Amino acid sequence: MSALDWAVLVLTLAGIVSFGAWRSRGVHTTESFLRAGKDIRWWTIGLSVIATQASAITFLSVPGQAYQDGLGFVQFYFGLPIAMVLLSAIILPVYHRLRVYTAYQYLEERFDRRTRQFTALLFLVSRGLASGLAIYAPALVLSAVLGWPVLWTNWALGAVTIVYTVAGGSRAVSRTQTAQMAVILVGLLAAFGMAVSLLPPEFSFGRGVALAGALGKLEGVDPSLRLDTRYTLWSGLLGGLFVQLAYFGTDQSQVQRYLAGGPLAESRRGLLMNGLLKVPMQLFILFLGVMVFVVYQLTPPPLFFNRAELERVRASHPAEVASLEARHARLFAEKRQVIDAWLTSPTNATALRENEARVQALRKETGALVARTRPGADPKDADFIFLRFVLDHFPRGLIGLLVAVILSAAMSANSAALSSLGATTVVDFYRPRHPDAPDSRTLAVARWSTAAWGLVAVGFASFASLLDNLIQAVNVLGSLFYGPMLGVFLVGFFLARVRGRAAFWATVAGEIAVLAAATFGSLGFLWYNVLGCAVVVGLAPLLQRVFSRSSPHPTGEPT
Amino acid sequence: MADESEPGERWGRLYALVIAALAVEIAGLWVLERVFR
Repeated sequence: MSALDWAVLVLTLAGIVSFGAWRSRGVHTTESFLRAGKDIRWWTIGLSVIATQASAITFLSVPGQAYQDGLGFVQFYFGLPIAMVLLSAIILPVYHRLRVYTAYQYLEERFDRRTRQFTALLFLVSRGLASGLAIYAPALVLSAVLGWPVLWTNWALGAVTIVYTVAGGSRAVSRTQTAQMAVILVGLLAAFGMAVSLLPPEFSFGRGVALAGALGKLEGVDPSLRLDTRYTLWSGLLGGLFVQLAYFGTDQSQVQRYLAGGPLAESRRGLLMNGLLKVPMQLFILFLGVMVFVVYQLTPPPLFFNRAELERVRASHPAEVASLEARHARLFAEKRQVIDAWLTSPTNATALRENEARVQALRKETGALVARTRPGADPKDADFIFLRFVLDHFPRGLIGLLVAVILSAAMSANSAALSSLGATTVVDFYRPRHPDAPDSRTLAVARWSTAAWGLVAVGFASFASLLDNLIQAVNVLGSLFYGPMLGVFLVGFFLARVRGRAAFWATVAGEIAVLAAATFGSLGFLWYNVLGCAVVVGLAPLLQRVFSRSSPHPTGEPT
Repeated sequence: MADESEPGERWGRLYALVIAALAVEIAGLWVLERVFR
């Protein structure tokens, strides 16, 4: 990066943190630390909710995913607007009426303390580890592309986030996220404009879209009922609804964003804003990836987008890399002729598709060479496509802005995670044991526990390189805990007869079932969510019957 | 500023708007793919 890029990067990030610090001054009570404030408006809640879900890996991976597979990933988000409506109509009023700080407080109101604390513990473990991976993932890509040391990138990213989250609490998180979202949106729009401007003069935007369509990159809706296809209309609407309900309804990093302390209507509107904007936003990021693909149909793309890895392979196997590059160059020269032929006869795209299939096969062959010659190296380069494109084609200054976008996204998601981890620690574990502690002491515990979780996350990030596949790890980690968490909340909302003892043991059984399936079974990890939830929802009423028979007059358990 | 006393009807319309927007997006994507196939 040039000096101008560094200046843009540092000034943007410093500006965001200063804005957050200024808007969150005067946080002197536990209430103001744990909640964003009574004066928070719905657009701040909406932006905060969107920023919490959009981590750095969203901006690194999603354009690369569209480059390879087109728009189909958008279907994963089709369940989100429906989840926002259900959440606003059913779950949010309950949380609001009970005036809870964390989602898990509801479980004590509905069941008992141990159900609350067990579920809160599942959240702490899963979110604590996931936030470590969310720091490590962008640090890994930035270090590979920009040459920054991974460890230092981890600690720098973690330290800035910890400082402003500990200083300003939830208020700083929400306020900073509005600035971070502004930078992210400006950066994405600039990147899209830049990608379109890189098309040759004789190739209009409309022709670019038509080229993408001819190569199957605009296939955004798959109405088939195939179960072996990961993203279809139906898996998105049904599976997506399930995942998004679990995430937004039971994950404190989101619950804390919309239970900000203001009126119910503001929280509702914030969630509905997310429901309206999320699909178009994901579509835009995917479309950006499609435009990157179109640019690389007309400009020679790299053989392998993780250049540092390819150079390491070249050092040990120069002849094989040179041969692949020569074939790649020949295919690109052919591609230009094929595109020219398609322009004169747009109805016939067969030759175009055949050429692209050969390019994809060659990319796979390169990945296989990387995997064969460097054991442990990632044979896929999709996460590097967007950043490589930015570095190779964007002017000075804009590169710094795009790196700021990635770091902003990392910080926004992590600050929300740390703030929620601190809140859960103090509200669900410290306060019940020290109900009479003075507010100043509770606030100090909240600050220290937020900092401690930050250190856990960065510490875990420092060891994350030991994991083979990072994204897989992030997904598997979430799926180990979400099912039972959603299950116990569903039991609470919809199975009125089930009481605390049955709910607790059903949740424990659900978690054991998921861990057993992950250890001994061959079930795809996305199914862990369904399994865990089904065990809790199915078992809780049965256990309730058993416990009711053995003790016909349960006492001390709220219904 | 709206508050909790806002009529349920109005929320019903907002919920319908969110679902309708999703339906339009899905239909739009379906059409886009067929136009540029």
